[in-house]
Amino acid sequence: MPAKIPPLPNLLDCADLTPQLVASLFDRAQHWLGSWGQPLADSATSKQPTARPRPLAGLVQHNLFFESSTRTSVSFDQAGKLLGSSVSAVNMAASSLSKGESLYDTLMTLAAMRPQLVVIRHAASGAASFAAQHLPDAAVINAGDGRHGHPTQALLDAFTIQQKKGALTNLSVAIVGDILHSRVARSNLYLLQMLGAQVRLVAPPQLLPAGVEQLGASVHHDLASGLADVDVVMVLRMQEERMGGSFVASRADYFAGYGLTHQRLAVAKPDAIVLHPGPFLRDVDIASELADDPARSVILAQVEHGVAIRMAVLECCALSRGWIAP
Amino acid sequence: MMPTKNLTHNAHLLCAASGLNGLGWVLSDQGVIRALGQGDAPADLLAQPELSVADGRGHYLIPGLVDALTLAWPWQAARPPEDAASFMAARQAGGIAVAAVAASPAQPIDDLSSLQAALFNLVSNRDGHSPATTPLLINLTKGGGGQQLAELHRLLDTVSPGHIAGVADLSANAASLGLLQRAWMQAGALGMTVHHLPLEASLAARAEAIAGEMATRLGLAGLWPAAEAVTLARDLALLAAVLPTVPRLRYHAALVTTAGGVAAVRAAKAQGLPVTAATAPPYFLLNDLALSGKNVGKNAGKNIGDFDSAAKLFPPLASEGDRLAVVAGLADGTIDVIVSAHQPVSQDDKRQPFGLAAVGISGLETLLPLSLSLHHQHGLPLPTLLAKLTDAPARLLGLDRGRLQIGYPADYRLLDLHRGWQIQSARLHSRCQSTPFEGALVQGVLVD
Repeated sequence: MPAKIPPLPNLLDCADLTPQLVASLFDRAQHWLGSWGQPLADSATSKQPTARPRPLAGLVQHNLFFESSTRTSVSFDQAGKLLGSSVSAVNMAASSLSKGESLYDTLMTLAAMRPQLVVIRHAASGAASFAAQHLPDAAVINAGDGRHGHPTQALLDAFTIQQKKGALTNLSVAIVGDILHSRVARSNLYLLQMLGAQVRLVAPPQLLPAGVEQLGASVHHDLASGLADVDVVMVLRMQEERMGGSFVASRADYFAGYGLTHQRLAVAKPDAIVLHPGPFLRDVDIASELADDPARSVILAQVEHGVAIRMAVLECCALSRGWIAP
Repeated sequence: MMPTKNLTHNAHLLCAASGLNGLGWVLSDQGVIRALGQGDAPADLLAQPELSVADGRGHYLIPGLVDALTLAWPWQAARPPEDAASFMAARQAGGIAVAAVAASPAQPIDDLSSLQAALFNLVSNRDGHSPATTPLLINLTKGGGGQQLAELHRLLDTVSPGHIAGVADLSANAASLGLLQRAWMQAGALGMTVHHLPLEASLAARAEAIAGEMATRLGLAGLWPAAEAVTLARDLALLAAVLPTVPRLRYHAALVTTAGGVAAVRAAKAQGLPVTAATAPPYFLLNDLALSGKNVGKNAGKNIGDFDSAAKLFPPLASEGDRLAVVAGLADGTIDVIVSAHQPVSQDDKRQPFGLAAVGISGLETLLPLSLSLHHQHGLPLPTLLAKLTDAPARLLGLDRGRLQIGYPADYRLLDLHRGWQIQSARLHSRCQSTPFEGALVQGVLVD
């Protein structure tokens, strides 16, 4: 670990990050990458599992997923366990909350078990901040709150782009899809710009939040102009579960207007890569064969990087809190 | 036995409606103003026996405030967020002599049983409560849902005249234009004022904040900023169209919060339509930056995220441009009335992540000092400002209140205009202690 690491007592949104902190998190993610599982046949960097230290041994980690999740939930679970923390993963959707307990009381109850690391996902914007306000003795990590933020997703996306493209400075990144309902878009918009990338948002106007231009992005209502000469395309899922009312005519109509295909990607740079935070909907937000094209799609690399990034974040929070030595 | 005759002299009498703005005296007996005058109190009056004399030196003497909008709370709840005693204590502390309680989404007043419950919970057998000081604004449609007309005739027959001061559907209004037209005709035929929150339901559905940079950054569902102006344009066109049939109909925009809304009301008044408008302190003192509780009060300087559910209101706090337009609307008379918009909510319902937190605010005790900041900070003349808290809302509600005038209730209060204090929610008398003004420094203390 570098001797002077900037503090990260909680990770609630990307405003908690600095370029310096991101660089050190990326260093640590690089360190952890490939340190678990079977060594990949084509990887020269894979390490043997036995060589891995367990810096978070003795720490208690609660993963509280009040909203359904597969990849993020398993990713945090795996990251914690690989680092040696004692992980309790709770599917809160099936738990006390469904019995009418308030989030406050659930948090107080869990706080009495004295977890040091609390990973929270919740359908309400502000839930992670709320948890941090009421759990001052735990490091709270936002695993997605409503449409507000998903900082570890933004970190793993930026890490993936850096792995494939080198530094993000002056890269042009298009985020395509349901920006209005997307916490991933908001966190990425903030972080990618912090790291020097230029961000375009491409969506039908009714799926763009008001005032988003003031956050520094350029806005496009069609793919042809939005994708022209970009280095990276990040495709988002249409979040039908968050829509109150009709926002698009149909999935097929959305695909006809905004679905990403090889043909539409042709206006981007020839080596442009495609990211998707998942879960993706084949032939709704991305053409099936494009999602599977290893020359373009880095979707599975994002998932692997997610584990390494979350290991780095958990470690950094524990370090900032003074629970482990540098 | 306490003397029933009271004389307050040496105070600065302030009442625009009565043309009073200078040193003077007021004599009251049995709770009614019997005599008043400018300058020194007559010597023979001071010599009267059994007279309680108060010296108002250095203070303003103002009529008791008339609050045209408190929202009914769910009085049938196991632990209601307000009760009659705390409501009265908060009104007393805030100088509010009359508080109109409006049917709300949390507590409709739309049939005989809910009307009787309102009377029981607000006014029955309690000191200081009388129907005259707690008029009701009943639902125009059943449950405020905009589907079916409420039984206005039956409800009006049940209470004494003046106790029902108007009709109000304050949930984001869901009524179709056709139903609205019929309902307003009915209300107009009865000579009632329609208190309308100009936010059409399908535009306001699910809104957590005004749409804009702040809502986008915080990931909150945004209310289209034009929703208020668009709804007002529709409402005012409808008003103009039904007036020839029901010329006694009056329209009151219960809360105006945006630049577009202020402009729409201004235009309607210029057209000569019978329109009034109100706003509340959050809308002329705060903008949507308050949603991030970082800059005020208890969370100042703490880096614990960006959300303050105390600032969750409906309508939501708007932009700085909107706030300035509301201030301008108050200054030029477009906005006639300032209301508390007191909407009691329980601590449990506020102690939630922003998206899940209830809307509401404890507004009674902060209405006067926050409004006075329009004078202290924006230079609004004191008589003009106080008229928006007294005479104008009284006229809106059809009450002989809110003036220093012989024969009017002696509910006047003494005000130290300049004394400063800090708003502390824990010291509020209301059971609802949620305020976005926690820690704010204000000037103006009632000293009697």
